[in-house]
Amino acid sequence: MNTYAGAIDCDIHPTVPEIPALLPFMDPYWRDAFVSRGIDGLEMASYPPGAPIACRADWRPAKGRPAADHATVVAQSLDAFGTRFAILNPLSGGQVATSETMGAAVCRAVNDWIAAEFLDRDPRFRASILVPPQSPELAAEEIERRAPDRRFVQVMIPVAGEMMLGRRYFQPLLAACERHNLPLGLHAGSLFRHPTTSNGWSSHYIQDYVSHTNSFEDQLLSLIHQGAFELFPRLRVVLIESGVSWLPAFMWRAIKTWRGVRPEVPWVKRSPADYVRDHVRLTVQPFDAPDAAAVARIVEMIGSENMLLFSTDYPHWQCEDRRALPDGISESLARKIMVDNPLATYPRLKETIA
Amino acid sequence: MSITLEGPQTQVSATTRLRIIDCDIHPALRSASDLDPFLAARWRQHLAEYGKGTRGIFAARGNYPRFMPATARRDAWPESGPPGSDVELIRAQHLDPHDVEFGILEPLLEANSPRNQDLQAALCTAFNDWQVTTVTDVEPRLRASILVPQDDAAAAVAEIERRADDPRFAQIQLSSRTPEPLGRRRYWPIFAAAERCGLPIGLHVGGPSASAPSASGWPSF
Repeated sequence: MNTYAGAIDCDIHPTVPEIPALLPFMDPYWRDAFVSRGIDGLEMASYPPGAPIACRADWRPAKGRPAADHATVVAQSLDAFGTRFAILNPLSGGQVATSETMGAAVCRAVNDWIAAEFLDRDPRFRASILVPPQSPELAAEEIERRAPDRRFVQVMIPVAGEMMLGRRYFQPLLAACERHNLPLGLHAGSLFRHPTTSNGWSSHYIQDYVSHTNSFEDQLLSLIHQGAFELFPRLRVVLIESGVSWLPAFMWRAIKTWRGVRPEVPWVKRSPADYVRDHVRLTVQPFDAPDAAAVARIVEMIGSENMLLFSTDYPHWQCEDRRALPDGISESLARKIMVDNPLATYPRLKETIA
Repeated sequence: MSITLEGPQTQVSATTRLRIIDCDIHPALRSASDLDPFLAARWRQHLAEYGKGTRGIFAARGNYPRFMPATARRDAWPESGPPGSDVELIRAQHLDPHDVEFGILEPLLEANSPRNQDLQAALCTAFNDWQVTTVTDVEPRLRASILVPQDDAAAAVAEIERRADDPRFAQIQLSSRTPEPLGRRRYWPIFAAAERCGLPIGLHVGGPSASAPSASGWPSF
């Protein structure tokens, strides 16, 4: 029996194709620019295509790219897990390019490619709108352009950028998300504008990957303490592929310190933990805990049953077989994680349920 | 009105008296697997899985897409492989008609860019072996640059000393974007070895930066 039948998978990754496949979705200027300049190979440094994490061994094809077309994704992910809806979170170099206009052009092309090659081909697919974090204004334009298509249920950027997300510079992006009631998804990954750790460049990919959790903490602290959730009270932020088990200790430290010295940030009206529980959601792969007892304790310490969203992170190598939900989660909580929480987080999903 | 140029405007001749030493020629691999014979199995697997792992923003290309493919003249493309990968074409297109006496290779192949210092050392050694085996031994007018793992001075000195007595190498190459400014003492052992061996240090433009490429941040283009 399939444990996850009917679940809503909040994080799967179709592989974005090389530039030639995106050219039909570009305007004449960019089509000509990419061809005449011979520009290709825009994969993000945060996800080397051959890295073990990038694709589970049994999902990696003998030749070519994993999760490259809708039929493969349907067979290996939606049908295999019994998914009711799956949210496509493509990772693309458009979100890290130094040129904000080139980045915006690639994001637009990827969004239109996703609509044509995935959303139009299976009614279970939903997608995130890729926007260029290099320019909050261009990001807001892309949200305006794609938001009318209700199959796009979220806006997504890499978690580590050029500036901290709570800075006023990013308000056009946050405002556009709130205006359309679209959660802002922060996905593990970096624009590589700064070293991958606050002590400099690590030597190995393993360090980059593990230390992503620091970027999630940094961005949450920035959003909370710059008052983003006061200014945008309906804004929701989804931490995607962030890991989960770091959260309780982070919340404790944030609460303790805020209680001690909160006059420095008088516009922060509520405890950091309250903002987190009300505004922040996390996908459950990876969870990062050793066993059922630890998972149960961590869920209890988080202090909310509404925050976790079911995900497989397909085709990333986080779990074996179909064990996408960690042990230690009660049946009633599992139901919330798989169905109720995603429906509450992504209001557009509900519109399509008869 | 447009003018179609059939070829170089000036006549080139192989009989000029004043001969040329070209100090900046860029060799390239025909394909990534050309380097395999010079790499241990461990590093071949590492590159297949993680790539070079530099400080660059893309997994396998430079930060700033250029305005022409491979930053190269259109006529520099061989029938197969990228510009600079065909020694016969370098000879026929450049060395012979321009009467080049010596040409110094400046490989821009990210040998000294990986953040993994052991990979950096392995790639520098491999590309140094590759330069002499596939380029300078085939065309002795071309001379190699000693690529060194610039993040690790002791390993860089070892590589310099390994190559110093080999006349096929003409200089030591460093990136113009070292992780710290070159005057810092961490680089002095490299300078001492260069002086001891009588080899100049070539600084070539480019390479992924350890920090923003300008003092005010990241240029867009």
